[in-house]
Amino acid sequence: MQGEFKIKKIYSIILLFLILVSWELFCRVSNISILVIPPPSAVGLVLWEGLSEGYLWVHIWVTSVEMLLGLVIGCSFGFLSGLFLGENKFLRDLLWPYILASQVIPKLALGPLFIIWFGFGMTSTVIITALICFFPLLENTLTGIQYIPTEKRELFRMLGATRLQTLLKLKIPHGLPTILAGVRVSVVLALIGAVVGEFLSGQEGLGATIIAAQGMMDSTLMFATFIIITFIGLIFYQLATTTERWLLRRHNSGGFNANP
Amino acid sequence: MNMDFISIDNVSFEYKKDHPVIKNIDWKIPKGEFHSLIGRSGCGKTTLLKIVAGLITPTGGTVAIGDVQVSYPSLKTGFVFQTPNLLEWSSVLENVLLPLTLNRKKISNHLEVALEVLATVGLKDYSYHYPTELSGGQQSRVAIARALITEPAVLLMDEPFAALDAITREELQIDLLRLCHLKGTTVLFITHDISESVYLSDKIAVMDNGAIQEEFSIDIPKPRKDNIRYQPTFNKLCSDIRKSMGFSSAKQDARGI
Repeated sequence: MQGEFKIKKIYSIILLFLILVSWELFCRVSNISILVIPPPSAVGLVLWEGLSEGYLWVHIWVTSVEMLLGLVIGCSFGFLSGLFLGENKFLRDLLWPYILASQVIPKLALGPLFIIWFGFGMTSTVIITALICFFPLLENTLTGIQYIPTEKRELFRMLGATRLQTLLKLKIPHGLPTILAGVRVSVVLALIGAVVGEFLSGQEGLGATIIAAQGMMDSTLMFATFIIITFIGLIFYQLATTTERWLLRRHNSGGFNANP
Repeated sequence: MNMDFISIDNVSFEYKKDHPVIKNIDWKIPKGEFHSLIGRSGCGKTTLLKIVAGLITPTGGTVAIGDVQVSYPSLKTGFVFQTPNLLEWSSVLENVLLPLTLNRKKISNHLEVALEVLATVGLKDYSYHYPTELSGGQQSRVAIARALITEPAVLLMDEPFAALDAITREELQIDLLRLCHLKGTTVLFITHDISESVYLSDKIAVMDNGAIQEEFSIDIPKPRKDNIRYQPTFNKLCSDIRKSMGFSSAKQDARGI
Protein backbone atom coordinates (compact mmCIF):
# COMPACT_ATOMS: atom_id res chain seq x y z
CA MET A 1 0.00 0.00 0.00
CA GLN A 2 2.74 2.43 0.99
CA GLY A 3 4.73 1.58 -2.15
CA GLU A 4 1.67 2.25 -4.29
CA PHE A 5 1.18 5.60 -2.53
CA LYS A 6 4.82 6.57 -3.21
CA ILE A 7 4.48 5.68 -6.92
CA LYS A 8 1.34 7.85 -7.18
CA LYS A 9 3.27 10.76 -5.61
CA ILE A 10 6.14 10.31 -8.06
CA TYR A 11 3.64 10.33 -10.96
CA SER A 12 2.11 13.57 -9.59
CA ILE A 13 5.56 15.22 -9.47
CA ILE A 14 6.38 14.00 -13.01
CA LEU A 15 3.04 15.43 -14.22
CA LEU A 16 3.85 18.82 -12.64
CA PHE A 17 7.31 18.78 -14.25
CA LEU A 18 5.78 17.96 -17.67
CA ILE A 19 3.22 20.78 -17.37
CA LEU A 20 5.96 23.31 -16.45
CA VAL A 21 8.25 22.19 -19.29
CA SER A 22 5.37 22.30 -21.83
CA TRP A 23 4.34 25.75 -20.56
CA GLU A 24 7.95 27.07 -20.81
CA LEU A 25 8.38 25.60 -24.31
CA PHE A 26 5.02 27.06 -25.44
CA CYS A 27 6.03 30.56 -24.24
CA ARG A 28 9.44 30.37 -25.92
CA VAL A 29 8.29 28.81 -29.22
CA SER A 30 5.10 30.87 -29.66
CA ASN A 31 6.78 34.14 -28.68
CA ILE A 32 3.63 35.09 -26.81
CA SER A 33 3.94 38.35 -24.88
CA ILE A 34 5.09 38.05 -21.26
CA LEU A 35 2.20 40.40 -20.42
CA VAL A 36 -0.28 37.71 -21.50
CA ILE A 37 1.32 34.46 -20.33
CA PRO A 38 4.67 34.70 -18.57
CA PRO A 39 6.95 31.58 -18.75
CA PRO A 40 7.41 29.62 -15.49
CA SER A 41 11.08 30.62 -15.37
CA ALA A 42 10.12 34.34 -15.23
CA VAL A 43 7.43 33.62 -12.61
CA GLY A 44 9.96 31.66 -10.55
CA LEU A 45 12.45 34.53 -10.74
CA VAL A 46 9.89 37.14 -9.60
CA LEU A 47 8.78 34.81 -6.82
CA TRP A 48 12.36 34.27 -5.66
CA GLU A 49 13.13 38.00 -5.73
CA GLY A 50 9.92 38.88 -3.90
CA LEU A 51 10.63 36.35 -1.17
CA SER A 52 14.38 36.91 -0.82
CA GLU A 53 14.04 40.71 -0.76
CA GLY A 54 11.15 40.47 1.70
CA TYR A 55 8.70 42.43 -0.49
CA LEU A 56 6.11 39.62 -0.56
CA TRP A 57 6.40 38.55 3.08
CA VAL A 58 4.43 41.57 4.37
CA HIS A 59 1.54 40.67 2.06
CA ILE A 60 1.72 36.97 2.97
CA TRP A 61 1.56 37.94 6.65
CA VAL A 62 -1.40 40.30 6.19
CA THR A 63 -3.43 37.80 4.13
CA SER A 64 -2.66 34.96 6.56
CA VAL A 65 -3.69 37.06 9.58
CA GLU A 66 -6.91 38.20 7.88
CA MET A 67 -7.69 34.64 6.85
CA LEU A 68 -7.03 33.25 10.33
CA LEU A 69 -8.96 35.99 12.14
CA GLY A 70 -11.91 35.64 9.76
CA LEU A 71 -11.78 31.85 10.09
CA VAL A 72 -11.66 31.87 13.89
CA ILE A 73 -14.38 34.53 14.28
CA GLY A 74 -16.66 33.02 11.59
CA CYS A 75 -16.22 29.44 12.78
CA SER A 76 -16.71 30.37 16.46
CA PHE A 77 -19.94 32.24 15.77
CA GLY A 78 -21.09 29.52 13.35
CA PHE A 79 -20.39 26.78 15.89
CA LEU A 80 -22.08 28.57 18.79
CA SER A 81 -25.09 29.56 16.66
CA GLY A 82 -25.34 25.95 15.43
CA LEU A 83 -25.41 24.69 19.03
CA PHE A 84 -27.93 27.32 20.04
CA LEU A 85 -30.30 26.65 17.14
CA GLY A 86 -29.78 22.87 17.40
CA GLU A 87 -30.91 22.92 21.01
CA ASN A 88 -33.83 25.28 20.56
CA LYS A 89 -36.47 24.16 18.06
CA PHE A 90 -38.54 27.33 18.43
CA LEU A 91 -35.60 29.60 17.58
CA ARG A 92 -34.54 27.25 14.79
CA ASP A 93 -37.95 27.44 13.13
CA LEU A 94 -38.09 31.20 13.73
CA LEU A 95 -34.62 32.18 12.51
CA TRP A 96 -33.71 29.57 9.89
CA PRO A 97 -35.47 31.27 6.92
CA TYR A 98 -33.67 34.53 7.73
CA ILE A 99 -30.28 32.84 8.16
CA LEU A 100 -30.78 31.06 4.85
CA ALA A 101 -31.79 34.32 3.14
CA SER A 102 -28.73 36.09 4.58
CA GLN A 103 -26.51 33.36 3.14
CA VAL A 104 -27.96 33.65 -0.34
CA ILE A 105 -26.69 37.26 -0.57
CA PRO A 106 -23.14 37.11 -2.01
CA LYS A 107 -20.93 38.27 0.85
CA LEU A 108 -18.61 40.09 -1.52
CA ALA A 109 -21.50 42.26 -2.65
CA LEU A 110 -21.57 43.59 0.91
CA GLY A 111 -17.91 44.64 0.60
CA PRO A 112 -18.60 48.25 -0.47
CA LEU A 113 -21.00 48.64 2.46
CA PHE A 114 -18.38 47.33 4.91
CA ILE A 115 -15.86 49.80 3.47
CA ILE A 116 -18.30 52.64 4.25
CA TRP A 117 -18.82 51.27 7.76
CA PHE A 118 -15.32 50.14 8.70
CA GLY A 119 -13.08 51.87 6.19
CA PHE A 120 -10.38 50.40 3.94
CA GLY A 121 -8.06 47.84 5.52
CA MET A 122 -8.05 44.72 7.60
CA THR A 123 -11.37 45.09 9.46
CA SER A 124 -13.57 44.96 6.35
CA THR A 125 -11.67 41.98 4.91
CA VAL A 126 -11.83 40.07 8.22
CA ILE A 127 -15.59 40.67 8.45
CA ILE A 128 -16.18 39.48 4.87
CA THR A 129 -14.05 36.37 5.57
CA ALA A 130 -15.87 35.70 8.86
CA LEU A 131 -19.27 35.97 7.15
CA ILE A 132 -18.19 33.48 4.48
CA CYS A 133 -16.94 31.01 7.14
CA PHE A 134 -20.00 31.38 9.36
CA PHE A 135 -22.56 29.38 7.36
CA PRO A 136 -20.69 26.08 6.77
CA LEU A 137 -20.01 25.81 10.50
CA LEU A 138 -23.56 26.77 11.44
CA GLU A 139 -25.09 24.23 9.09
CA ASN A 140 -22.66 21.41 9.89
CA THR A 141 -22.92 21.95 13.66
CA LEU A 142 -26.71 21.98 13.42
CA THR A 143 -26.71 18.77 11.38
CA GLY A 144 -24.01 17.10 13.49
CA ILE A 145 -25.73 17.53 16.83
CA GLN A 146 -29.20 16.67 15.55
CA TYR A 147 -28.56 13.25 14.03
CA ILE A 148 -27.70 11.19 17.10
CA PRO A 149 -28.66 7.46 17.08
CA THR A 150 -31.77 6.76 19.14
CA GLU A 151 -30.00 4.13 21.28
CA LYS A 152 -27.32 6.64 22.34
CA ARG A 153 -29.98 9.23 23.22
CA GLU A 154 -31.84 6.56 25.22
CA LEU A 155 -28.63 5.57 27.00
CA PHE A 156 -28.15 9.14 28.20
CA ARG A 157 -31.80 9.32 29.27
CA MET A 158 -31.42 6.05 31.18
CA LEU A 159 -28.35 7.46 32.94
CA GLY A 160 -30.23 10.61 33.96
CA ALA A 161 -28.02 13.00 31.95
CA THR A 162 -28.97 16.67 31.93
CA ARG A 163 -29.47 18.54 28.66
CA LEU A 164 -26.08 20.21 28.98
CA GLN A 165 -24.37 16.88 29.72
CA THR A 166 -26.05 15.29 26.69
CA LEU A 167 -24.83 18.20 24.55
CA LEU A 168 -21.26 18.18 25.85
CA LYS A 169 -20.69 14.46 26.28
CA LEU A 170 -22.78 13.01 23.46
CA LYS A 171 -24.01 15.43 20.81
CA ILE A 172 -20.81 17.44 20.23
CA PRO A 173 -18.40 14.45 20.29
CA HIS A 174 -20.76 12.41 18.09
CA GLY A 175 -21.26 15.31 15.68
CA LEU A 176 -17.55 16.18 15.60
CA PRO A 177 -16.85 14.53 12.19
CA THR A 178 -19.60 16.65 10.58
CA ILE A 179 -18.53 19.79 12.47
CA LEU A 180 -14.89 19.36 11.43
CA ALA A 181 -15.93 18.79 7.82
CA GLY A 182 -17.47 22.27 8.06
CA VAL A 183 -14.17 23.65 9.37
CA ARG A 184 -12.36 22.08 6.41
CA VAL A 185 -14.74 23.76 3.96
CA SER A 186 -14.39 27.06 5.86
CA VAL A 187 -10.57 26.96 5.60
CA VAL A 188 -10.79 26.98 1.80
CA LEU A 189 -13.50 29.64 1.79
CA ALA A 190 -11.56 31.80 4.27
CA LEU A 191 -8.62 32.16 1.89
CA ILE A 192 -10.95 33.06 -0.97
CA GLY A 193 -12.73 35.54 1.32
CA ALA A 194 -9.48 37.16 2.48
CA VAL A 195 -8.01 37.53 -1.04
CA VAL A 196 -11.21 38.76 -2.68
CA GLY A 197 -11.89 41.01 0.34
CA GLU A 198 -8.47 42.60 -0.31
CA PHE A 199 -9.45 43.17 -3.96
CA LEU A 200 -12.16 45.49 -2.62
CA SER A 201 -10.77 47.04 0.51
CA GLY A 202 -7.16 46.02 0.94
CA GLN A 203 -4.14 48.24 0.91
CA GLU A 204 -1.87 45.34 1.82
CA GLY A 205 -2.13 41.60 1.31
CA LEU A 206 -1.92 39.23 -1.63
CA GLY A 207 -5.30 40.34 -3.05
CA ALA A 208 -4.11 43.94 -3.01
CA THR A 209 -0.84 42.79 -4.66
CA ILE A 210 -2.81 41.19 -7.50
CA ILE A 211 -4.81 44.42 -8.01
CA ALA A 212 -1.57 46.46 -7.96
CA ALA A 213 0.04 44.04 -10.45
CA GLN A 214 -3.03 44.36 -12.68
CA GLY A 215 -2.58 48.17 -12.64
CA MET A 216 1.03 47.72 -13.79
CA MET A 217 0.10 45.00 -16.33
CA ASP A 218 2.56 42.79 -14.42
CA SER A 219 1.20 39.29 -15.21
CA THR A 220 4.40 37.70 -13.91
CA LEU A 221 3.82 39.09 -10.41
CA MET A 222 0.19 37.98 -10.62
CA PHE A 223 1.25 34.41 -11.37
CA ALA A 224 3.84 34.54 -8.56
CA THR A 225 1.07 35.69 -6.18
CA PHE A 226 -1.22 32.88 -7.38
CA ILE A 227 1.50 30.37 -6.47
CA ILE A 228 1.85 31.86 -2.98
CA ILE A 229 -1.95 31.82 -2.46
CA THR A 230 -2.05 28.18 -3.56
CA PHE A 231 0.70 27.29 -1.09
CA ILE A 232 -1.01 29.12 1.78
CA GLY A 233 -4.27 27.31 0.93
CA LEU A 234 -2.54 23.92 0.82
CA ILE A 235 -0.70 24.52 4.11
CA PHE A 236 -3.88 25.57 5.96
CA TYR A 237 -5.91 22.74 4.38
CA GLN A 238 -3.26 20.20 5.37
CA LEU A 239 -3.21 21.63 8.91
CA ALA A 240 -7.01 21.33 9.06
CA THR A 241 -7.05 17.71 7.83
CA THR A 242 -4.18 16.71 10.16
CA THR A 243 -5.96 18.28 13.16
CA GLU A 244 -9.20 16.62 12.07
CA ARG A 245 -7.57 13.20 11.83
CA TRP A 246 -6.01 13.65 15.27
CA LEU A 247 -9.30 14.75 16.86
CA LEU A 248 -11.21 11.90 15.20
CA ARG A 249 -8.60 9.23 15.84
CA ARG A 250 -11.00 7.41 18.19
CA HIS A 251 -14.08 7.78 16.01
CA ASN A 252 -15.15 4.91 13.76
CA SER A 253 -14.71 7.10 10.69
CA GLY A 254 -11.11 7.92 11.69
CA GLY A 255 -11.38 11.36 10.11
CA PHE A 256 -11.15 12.70 6.57
CA ASN A 257 -8.66 10.98 4.33
CA ALA A 258 -7.21 13.41 1.82
CA ASN A 259 -5.35 10.56 0.10
CA PRO A 260 -7.98 7.86 -0.45
CA MET B 1 -43.57 -5.37 50.97
CA ASN B 2 -44.50 -6.75 47.58
CA MET B 3 -43.02 -10.18 46.86
CA ASP B 4 -43.10 -9.31 43.18
CA PHE B 5 -40.19 -6.94 42.68
CA ILE B 6 -41.14 -5.92 39.16
CA SER B 7 -44.86 -5.65 38.66
CA ILE B 8 -46.30 -5.05 35.19
CA ASP B 9 -50.03 -4.48 35.59
CA ASN B 10 -52.42 -4.43 32.65
CA VAL B 11 -49.93 -2.48 30.53
CA SER B 12 -50.89 -1.45 27.04
CA PHE B 13 -49.34 0.91 24.52
CA GLU B 14 -50.22 2.25 21.09
CA TYR B 15 -48.25 4.59 18.83
CA LYS B 16 -51.40 5.38 16.81
CA LYS B 17 -54.98 5.20 18.00
CA ASP B 18 -56.51 1.73 17.59
CA HIS B 19 -53.14 0.24 16.63
CA PRO B 20 -52.03 -1.37 19.91
CA VAL B 21 -48.42 -2.53 20.12
CA ILE B 22 -48.79 -3.88 23.67
CA LYS B 23 -52.12 -5.36 24.78
CA ASN B 24 -52.97 -5.53 28.49
CA ILE B 25 -49.88 -7.35 29.69
CA ASP B 26 -49.58 -8.59 33.27
CA TRP B 27 -46.25 -9.96 34.41
CA LYS B 28 -44.57 -10.26 37.81
CA ILE B 29 -40.89 -10.85 38.50
CA PRO B 30 -39.84 -11.75 42.07
CA LYS B 31 -36.59 -10.27 43.41
CA GLY B 32 -33.43 -11.91 42.11
CA GLU B 33 -35.16 -13.86 39.35
CA PHE B 34 -34.18 -13.93 35.70
CA HIS B 35 -37.10 -13.67 33.30
CA SER B 36 -37.01 -13.62 29.52
CA LEU B 37 -39.40 -12.32 26.89
CA ILE B 38 -39.15 -14.25 23.68
CA GLY B 39 -40.95 -13.69 20.42
CA ARG B 40 -40.58 -12.91 16.78
CA SER B 41 -39.34 -9.54 15.54
CA GLY B 42 -41.99 -6.84 15.85
CA CYS B 43 -44.06 -8.60 18.52
CA GLY B 44 -43.60 -5.73 21.02
CA LYS B 45 -40.80 -7.09 23.25
CA THR B 46 -38.57 -4.03 23.03
CA THR B 47 -41.50 -1.64 23.54
CA LEU B 48 -42.46 -3.50 26.73
CA LEU B 49 -38.86 -3.39 27.96
CA LYS B 50 -38.67 0.36 27.32
CA ILE B 51 -41.92 0.83 29.25
CA VAL B 52 -40.39 -1.04 32.21
CA ALA B 53 -37.27 1.16 31.86
CA GLY B 54 -39.38 4.33 31.96
CA LEU B 55 -38.24 5.36 28.47
CA ILE B 56 -41.79 5.05 27.13
CA THR B 57 -44.96 5.93 29.04
CA PRO B 58 -47.67 3.28 28.66
CA THR B 59 -51.05 4.37 27.32
CA GLY B 60 -52.68 2.08 29.87
CA GLY B 61 -51.71 0.23 33.06
CA THR B 62 -48.73 0.67 35.38
CA VAL B 63 -45.25 -0.68 36.02
CA ALA B 64 -43.75 -0.74 39.51
CA ILE B 65 -40.26 -1.65 40.64
CA GLY B 66 -40.29 -2.39 44.34
CA ASP B 67 -42.85 0.00 45.75
CA VAL B 68 -42.11 2.77 43.26
CA GLN B 69 -44.21 3.28 40.16
CA VAL B 70 -42.03 3.71 37.07
CA SER B 71 -42.65 7.00 35.26
CA TYR B 72 -39.12 7.95 34.18
CA PRO B 73 -35.71 6.23 33.88
CA SER B 74 -33.90 5.56 37.13
CA LEU B 75 -30.27 4.79 37.94
CA LYS B 76 -31.53 1.83 39.97
CA THR B 77 -32.37 0.21 36.65
CA GLY B 78 -29.52 -0.83 34.37
CA PHE B 79 -30.21 -1.10 30.64
CA VAL B 80 -28.17 -3.03 28.09
CA PHE B 81 -29.05 -2.22 24.48
CA GLN B 82 -29.11 -4.38 21.34
CA THR B 83 -25.76 -2.92 20.33
CA PRO B 84 -22.99 -2.25 22.89
CA ASN B 85 -23.78 1.47 22.40
CA LEU B 86 -20.36 2.58 23.64
CA LEU B 87 -18.96 6.09 23.18
CA GLU B 88 -16.14 5.38 20.75
CA TRP B 89 -14.30 8.59 21.67
CA SER B 90 -14.02 7.48 25.31
CA SER B 91 -11.79 4.76 26.75
CA VAL B 92 -13.24 1.53 28.16
CA LEU B 93 -12.75 2.89 31.69
CA GLU B 94 -14.48 6.19 30.83
CA ASN B 95 -17.38 4.26 29.26
CA VAL B 96 -17.81 2.16 32.38
CA LEU B 97 -17.60 5.26 34.59
CA LEU B 98 -20.16 7.16 32.47
CA PRO B 99 -23.17 6.51 34.80
CA LEU B 100 -21.18 7.89 37.73
CA THR B 101 -19.70 10.91 35.94
CA LEU B 102 -23.10 11.93 34.54
CA ASN B 103 -24.65 11.78 37.98
CA ARG B 104 -21.64 13.31 39.75
CA LYS B 105 -21.86 10.44 42.21
CA LYS B 106 -19.25 10.95 44.85
CA ILE B 107 -17.67 7.56 45.18
CA SER B 108 -14.23 8.09 46.67
CA ASN B 109 -12.86 4.91 45.15
CA HIS B 110 -14.75 5.10 41.84
CA LEU B 111 -11.67 4.10 39.84
CA GLU B 112 -11.17 0.98 41.94
CA VAL B 113 -14.90 0.16 41.61
CA ALA B 114 -14.75 0.53 37.82
CA LEU B 115 -11.62 -1.60 37.59
CA GLU B 116 -13.25 -4.21 39.80
CA VAL B 117 -16.36 -4.32 37.59
CA LEU B 118 -14.13 -4.59 34.53
CA ALA B 119 -12.27 -7.43 36.23
CA THR B 120 -15.56 -9.29 36.77
CA VAL B 121 -16.22 -9.19 33.02
CA GLY B 122 -12.59 -10.13 32.30
CA LEU B 123 -11.51 -6.81 30.78
CA LYS B 124 -9.34 -5.17 33.44
CA ASP B 125 -6.34 -5.23 31.10
CA TYR B 126 -8.32 -3.34 28.46
CA SER B 127 -9.26 -0.38 30.70
CA TYR B 128 -7.35 2.18 28.67
CA HIS B 129 -8.22 0.72 25.28
CA TYR B 130 -10.83 2.33 23.06
CA PRO B 131 -14.04 0.59 21.85
CA THR B 132 -12.80 0.45 18.23
CA GLU B 133 -9.85 -1.64 19.47
CA LEU B 134 -12.14 -4.30 20.99
CA SER B 135 -13.97 -7.28 19.49
CA GLY B 136 -17.78 -7.42 19.43
CA GLY B 137 -17.83 -9.73 22.45
CA GLN B 138 -15.50 -7.48 24.43
CA GLN B 139 -17.65 -4.45 23.59
CA SER B 140 -20.72 -6.31 24.89
CA ARG B 141 -18.83 -7.06 28.12
CA VAL B 142 -18.03 -3.34 28.52
CA ALA B 143 -21.73 -2.53 28.02
CA ILE B 144 -22.63 -5.01 30.78
CA ALA B 145 -19.93 -3.57 33.06
CA ARG B 146 -21.32 -0.06 32.46
CA ALA B 147 -24.81 -1.25 33.38
CA LEU B 148 -23.52 -2.95 36.54
CA ILE B 149 -21.31 -0.19 37.97
CA THR B 150 -24.20 1.48 39.79
CA GLU B 151 -25.12 -1.94 41.23
CA PRO B 152 -28.69 -1.69 39.88
CA ALA B 153 -31.39 -3.78 41.51
CA VAL B 154 -32.88 -4.39 38.06
CA LEU B 155 -31.13 -5.15 34.79
CA LEU B 156 -33.07 -4.79 31.55
CA MET B 157 -31.42 -6.33 28.52
CA ASP B 158 -32.57 -5.97 24.94
CA GLU B 159 -31.06 -8.80 22.85
CA PRO B 160 -27.58 -7.81 23.99
CA PHE B 161 -25.85 -10.81 22.42
CA ALA B 162 -27.81 -10.99 19.16
CA ALA B 163 -24.92 -9.88 16.96
CA LEU B 164 -22.31 -12.19 18.47
CA ASP B 165 -21.06 -15.58 17.30
CA ALA B 166 -22.40 -18.69 19.07
CA ILE B 167 -19.32 -19.40 21.20
CA THR B 168 -18.87 -15.80 22.41
CA ARG B 169 -22.59 -15.65 23.14
CA GLU B 170 -22.42 -18.77 25.30
CA GLU B 171 -19.40 -17.40 27.18
CA LEU B 172 -21.25 -14.16 27.87
CA GLN B 173 -24.37 -16.04 28.98
CA ILE B 174 -22.29 -17.94 31.57
CA ASP B 175 -20.70 -14.68 32.79
CA LEU B 176 -24.06 -12.92 32.94
CA LEU B 177 -25.65 -15.64 35.07
CA ARG B 178 -22.64 -15.61 37.41
CA LEU B 179 -22.72 -11.81 37.81
CA CYS B 180 -26.48 -11.62 38.39
CA HIS B 181 -26.31 -14.45 40.93
CA LEU B 182 -23.43 -12.66 42.69
CA LYS B 183 -25.30 -9.35 43.05
CA GLY B 184 -28.84 -10.81 43.36
CA THR B 185 -29.90 -8.73 40.35
CA THR B 186 -33.43 -9.06 39.00
CA VAL B 187 -33.29 -9.37 35.22
CA LEU B 188 -35.76 -8.93 32.38
CA PHE B 189 -34.07 -10.20 29.23
CA ILE B 190 -35.25 -9.99 25.66
CA THR B 191 -34.16 -12.45 23.04
CA HIS B 192 -35.35 -14.35 20.03
CA ASP B 193 -32.91 -17.16 20.71
CA ILE B 194 -34.87 -20.01 22.32
CA SER B 195 -31.85 -21.88 23.67
CA GLU B 196 -30.46 -18.67 25.19
CA SER B 197 -33.72 -17.94 26.97
CA VAL B 198 -33.97 -21.48 28.42
CA TYR B 199 -30.35 -21.47 29.59
CA LEU B 200 -30.61 -18.10 31.34
CA SER B 201 -34.13 -17.88 32.69
CA ASP B 202 -36.23 -18.87 35.66
CA LYS B 203 -39.32 -18.02 33.67
CA ILE B 204 -40.04 -17.30 30.00
CA ALA B 205 -42.93 -15.40 28.43
CA VAL B 206 -43.62 -16.07 24.77
CA MET B 207 -44.90 -12.87 23.16
CA ASP B 208 -46.90 -12.60 19.98
CA ASN B 209 -48.68 -9.62 18.49
CA GLY B 210 -48.30 -7.47 21.61
CA ALA B 211 -49.61 -10.04 24.10
CA ILE B 212 -48.18 -12.84 26.20
CA GLN B 213 -49.00 -16.09 24.44
CA GLU B 214 -47.70 -18.61 26.94
CA GLU B 215 -45.52 -18.83 30.05
CA PHE B 216 -42.84 -21.41 30.81
CA SER B 217 -41.21 -22.03 34.18
CA ILE B 218 -37.67 -23.34 33.81
CA ASP B 219 -37.04 -25.78 36.63
CA ILE B 220 -33.46 -26.54 35.77
CA PRO B 221 -31.45 -26.06 38.98
CA LYS B 222 -28.91 -23.21 39.30
CA PRO B 223 -26.00 -22.66 38.96
CA ARG B 224 -26.33 -24.00 35.45
CA LYS B 225 -23.41 -25.64 33.76
CA ASP B 226 -22.82 -25.34 30.06
CA ASN B 227 -23.53 -29.05 29.47
CA ILE B 228 -27.23 -28.67 30.41
CA ARG B 229 -27.75 -27.45 26.86
CA TYR B 230 -27.46 -31.06 25.69
CA GLN B 231 -29.83 -32.61 28.25
CA PRO B 232 -33.28 -33.95 27.27
CA THR B 233 -35.13 -31.58 29.69
CA PHE B 234 -33.45 -28.60 28.06
CA ASN B 235 -34.24 -29.79 24.55
CA LYS B 236 -37.84 -30.58 25.49
CA LEU B 237 -38.31 -27.02 26.82
CA CYS B 238 -36.76 -25.58 23.66
CA SER B 239 -39.10 -27.68 21.54
CA ASP B 240 -42.18 -26.62 23.56
CA ILE B 241 -41.24 -22.93 23.27
CA ARG B 242 -40.62 -23.33 19.55
CA LYS B 243 -44.10 -24.81 19.19
CA SER B 244 -45.57 -21.98 21.23
CA MET B 245 -43.93 -19.52 18.87
CA GLY B 246 -45.80 -21.19 16.04
CA PHE B 247 -42.92 -23.12 14.53
CA SER B 248 -44.12 -26.73 14.32
CA SER B 249 -42.87 -29.81 12.49
CA ALA B 250 -46.22 -29.80 10.63
CA LYS B 251 -45.29 -26.39 9.17
CA GLN B 252 -41.84 -27.70 8.30
CA ASP B 253 -43.43 -30.68 6.51
CA ALA B 254 -45.83 -28.39 4.67
CA ARG B 255 -42.86 -26.36 3.43
CA GLY B 256 -41.14 -29.57 2.34
CA ILE B 257 -38.22 -29.04 4.75
